[in-house]
Amino acid sequence: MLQLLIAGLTVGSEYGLIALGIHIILRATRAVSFAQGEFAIVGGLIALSIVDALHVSVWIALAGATLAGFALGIAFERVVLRPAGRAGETGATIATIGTVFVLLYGHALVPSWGSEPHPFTPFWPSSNVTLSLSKGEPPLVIPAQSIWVAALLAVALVALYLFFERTYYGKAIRAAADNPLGARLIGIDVRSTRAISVGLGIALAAYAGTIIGPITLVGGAAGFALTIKGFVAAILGGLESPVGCVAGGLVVGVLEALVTAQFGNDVAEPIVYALLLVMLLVRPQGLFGRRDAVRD
Amino acid sequence: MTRTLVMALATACIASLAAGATTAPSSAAPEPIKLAAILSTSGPSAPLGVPESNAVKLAEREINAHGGINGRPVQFDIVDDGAKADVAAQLATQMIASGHVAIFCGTRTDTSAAVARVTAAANVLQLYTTPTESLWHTPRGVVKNVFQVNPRDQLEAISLLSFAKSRLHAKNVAILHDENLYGTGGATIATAEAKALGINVVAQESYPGTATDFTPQIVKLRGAKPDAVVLWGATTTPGLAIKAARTLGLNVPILGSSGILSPAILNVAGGGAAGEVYSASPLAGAPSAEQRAFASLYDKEYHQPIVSFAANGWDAAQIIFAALREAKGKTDGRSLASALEGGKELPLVDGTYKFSPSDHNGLVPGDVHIAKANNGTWGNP
Repeated sequence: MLQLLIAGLTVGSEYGLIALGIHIILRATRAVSFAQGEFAIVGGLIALSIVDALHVSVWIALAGATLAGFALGIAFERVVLRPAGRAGETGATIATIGTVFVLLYGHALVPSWGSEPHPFTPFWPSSNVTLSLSKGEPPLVIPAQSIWVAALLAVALVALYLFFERTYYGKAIRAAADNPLGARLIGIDVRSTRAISVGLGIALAAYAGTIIGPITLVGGAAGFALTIKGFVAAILGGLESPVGCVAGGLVVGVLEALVTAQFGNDVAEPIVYALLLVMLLVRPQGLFGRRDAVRD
Repeated sequence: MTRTLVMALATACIASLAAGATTAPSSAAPEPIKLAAILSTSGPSAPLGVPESNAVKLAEREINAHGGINGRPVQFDIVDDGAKADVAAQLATQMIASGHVAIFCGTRTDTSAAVARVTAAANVLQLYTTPTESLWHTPRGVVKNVFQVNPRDQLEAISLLSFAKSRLHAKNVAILHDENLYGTGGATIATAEAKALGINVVAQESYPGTATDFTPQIVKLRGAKPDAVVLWGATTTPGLAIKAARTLGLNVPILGSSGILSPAILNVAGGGAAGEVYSASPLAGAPSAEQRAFASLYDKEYHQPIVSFAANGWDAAQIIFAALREAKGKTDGRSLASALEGGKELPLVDGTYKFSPSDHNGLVPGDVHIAKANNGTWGNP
């Protein structure tokens, strides 16, 4: 049980970061970004290339991939979301689905990336933590990278909190998301805040794809499945609630691990997706969202 | 103005026709025999499709260098289905419409199955390379025009489980498999063969092809206390399963289907592959004369050792060539199939094929050998 909890929380951390990216982009642009999972895949691959080409530490690769994710996000907003958004929020959302396939097949064309996933260097070359809890039972194994994933999730959350609560730009982004017209009237450049928001959302995806890489590999074709899990997490926790998105990710990860172990993979996948439907029908604002946050 | 333009065009047409008449050879060169290979050279199955494609190009070059078939050159057109069944089916329709008389498709079970519906309707010979035999061996009988390269699942299962029983003394095994057609079919056959050999199947778990975490499956298998695990899957995902098994203390031997027989999987498994990991392949064991000859050709052209997918591509092409030779000018699917069913032995890279009306795989358990992972490569156990 504890073993499954650790596995679920580790994978759930990635779902949470994907959900948080969806939340930030949704708040700024009113479009749901279905490309988050693919950007996580590309972010992990960029980190892999940095390590392979420059022979630097994985920490520098993490910083590089996150910055590259931010730059990709700015470009994504300028080239895809902004023009597509002129046709309305639905147009921008559909454009993100198109982006999924451009990234999926596009990254496979890069010779050193290809279509297959690659192993990625662990963040700390230490062995796993093994705890013997009771005699005769298999020991509890905590993979070293799982500890790093938890720590790096916390770092990302604290950094985002400080940015949005304590900095001028963070407050401007929130103001522009809450009331674009009002923000414009007091001199906030709403176009810039939208671009920065999308940059942050994609940077989070790249960060998530890199920190989970040593466990789940980087690259491959799992990006869209990751997006959907992140979307379920966001709906479960509350699309309008950043805390809810992360909590939703952890819940989805743990639920998936427990149900798979108990009933098998065949049952786990439908249950996770059924959760999406149940939440939309019963509590559309999510576990952590406010009722008035649900728009008609 | 318009009249002048029309006159000019007409003059140009007549001139080009006249030029064609004067430059045409007195005796026409023999028409090439057009063959199609619909392979997954991009997408998730590219690591399988690319070596298959390489082998087909090599086979085309070699056959033409040796005079072609019945005096006619061979033109093998290779197209990419991107690992998508619907794309593969569309390509098959186009290829047949443009005069291709046999189709090698393909890399994956789903693409091969989609194309099998097209080739059956058009009466065109089809070769495919995955171990799933249900494409030609259906509950309604043998599909006349479809033949399988690569030992079928049952031969792999017999080989792996016999090894588990005789060499590893396993009495209880657990099965972990991909939830796709290849994995599910393999798991069903492995279960049946285990029972036939008196081995208990104590647990069976599946995983999606995009799985990134195997903890739930491994925890469950570990609880069943198997003596060995049979792993039926392909691409690099099984490497994560091996890694998770070792991390979580499931240290029993792992016996993988031929889909895991690649260095990439051992690279993904990392230190996890240090334990006992086995697979089954015609390429394991002492190399045959055919394997040595093909390995030499392949290395000369691509500077790489052969992998099972390259061997499959080479064998598929050679079997099509053999059918065309035996059918003596006939190219329809039934004639080519009957030529193969004649039972002439074809010693190739994966083994000596001997097809019959009831066996469209033509290999025997003795063609499959056990390989063991050792320091990131596959060798003899």
